[in-house]
Amino acid sequence: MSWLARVMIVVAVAAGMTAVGVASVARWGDEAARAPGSSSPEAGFARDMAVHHAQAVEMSFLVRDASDDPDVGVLAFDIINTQATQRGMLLGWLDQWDLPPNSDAPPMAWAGGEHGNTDPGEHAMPGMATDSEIQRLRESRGREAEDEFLRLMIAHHEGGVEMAEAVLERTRREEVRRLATTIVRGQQSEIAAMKALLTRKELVDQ
Amino acid sequence: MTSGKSSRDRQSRIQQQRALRERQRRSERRRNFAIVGTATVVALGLVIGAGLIATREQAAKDELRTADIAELKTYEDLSQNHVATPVTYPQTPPVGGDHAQVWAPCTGIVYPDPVPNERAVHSLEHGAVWVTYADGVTDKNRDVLAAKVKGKPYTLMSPHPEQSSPIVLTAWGTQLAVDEPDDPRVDRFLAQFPQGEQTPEPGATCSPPPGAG
Repeated sequence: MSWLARVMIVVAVAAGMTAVGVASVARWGDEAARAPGSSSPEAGFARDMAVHHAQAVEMSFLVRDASDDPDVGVLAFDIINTQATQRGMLLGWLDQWDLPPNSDAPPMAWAGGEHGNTDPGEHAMPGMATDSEIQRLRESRGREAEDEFLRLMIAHHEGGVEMAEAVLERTRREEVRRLATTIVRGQQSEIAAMKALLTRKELVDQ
Repeated sequence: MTSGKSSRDRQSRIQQQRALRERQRRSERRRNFAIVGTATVVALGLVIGAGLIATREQAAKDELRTADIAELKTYEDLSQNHVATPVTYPQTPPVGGDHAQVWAPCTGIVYPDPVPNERAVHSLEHGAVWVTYADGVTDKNRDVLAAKVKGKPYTLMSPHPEQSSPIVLTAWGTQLAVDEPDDPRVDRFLAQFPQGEQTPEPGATCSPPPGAG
């Protein structure tokens, strides 16, 4: 073998070994110590809240299709953007933690089961609308759709607050606490806004 | 017959040739080791050097994000309700609190006219930085500031005649007043706060609300 070939081989091996060494330290030095496990409250919250948020997005699209009330419409628009993005954050955490987005555990099992519902056919998670409730929203129009949406979403937000409070009682992870805290505050404020909207509509009726 | 002497000569020549080849081989081997060794050192140096530079850059970026900004004011316990009526805010410009149900688009927009407080506060809730300037600010300074804001996600800029400082930067619960747009704290504020940890509603949008008015 020519000396040039030998030089190339040694250089390639040396560079390769150094790169692998640096990458290993970067990847495993910090990571392994920090990711929560699949049955942790953080993973359970991320999975369940991602599903919960997806339903809020669905309901918001439905009411925007069914009605052109500007107040309900802008609220639904805001919910769509915020909760879809937060759903992305939650799925991103699971990806970073190298965990699958699904699990065999029933919803809210991570919260000690006290928040779950024993009847799996009905509300699986706090505040979730049932299939028939979603169907009713899908089939309604105008004012009826707005009222249906507001009532369902108030219950939905109350459930969301309950879930966020449950994970705040069970985790010390900074990023989870930050998002859960904003969910508690933000959704409580939206509940107040929705109740005010319902009241205003009822006053208009009188 | 001189076989003895010539055979010794030949042997001696053969030995000399062998010795010469041996020296040549040794010196070639030394040369090879020198080349290989140098190449290895250079390669390792490049890889390690790149790693050090990358680590230092990341550390500098992290520092830019978390460094304390002198004279930054923070405010706690701000409410977050949607109201349909004008709000009287304690600060000028406001740093948070009750707000309109519609936000002001904050995709790096430089507004030529004042933006209603109640809408800008909703933008703050979505994570935006609101840059405002008083009447006395020169056109040049205003343009320098506008160049920093234009197109920058989760920021907006507008005139605010009521404010007392020339230039104010506001995020939810956070405010900084400066005199000049090239005050280094301006860039640091703009690096740290758009969609920053102060955001009450992470994930919310700065795109125009439907039927934007």
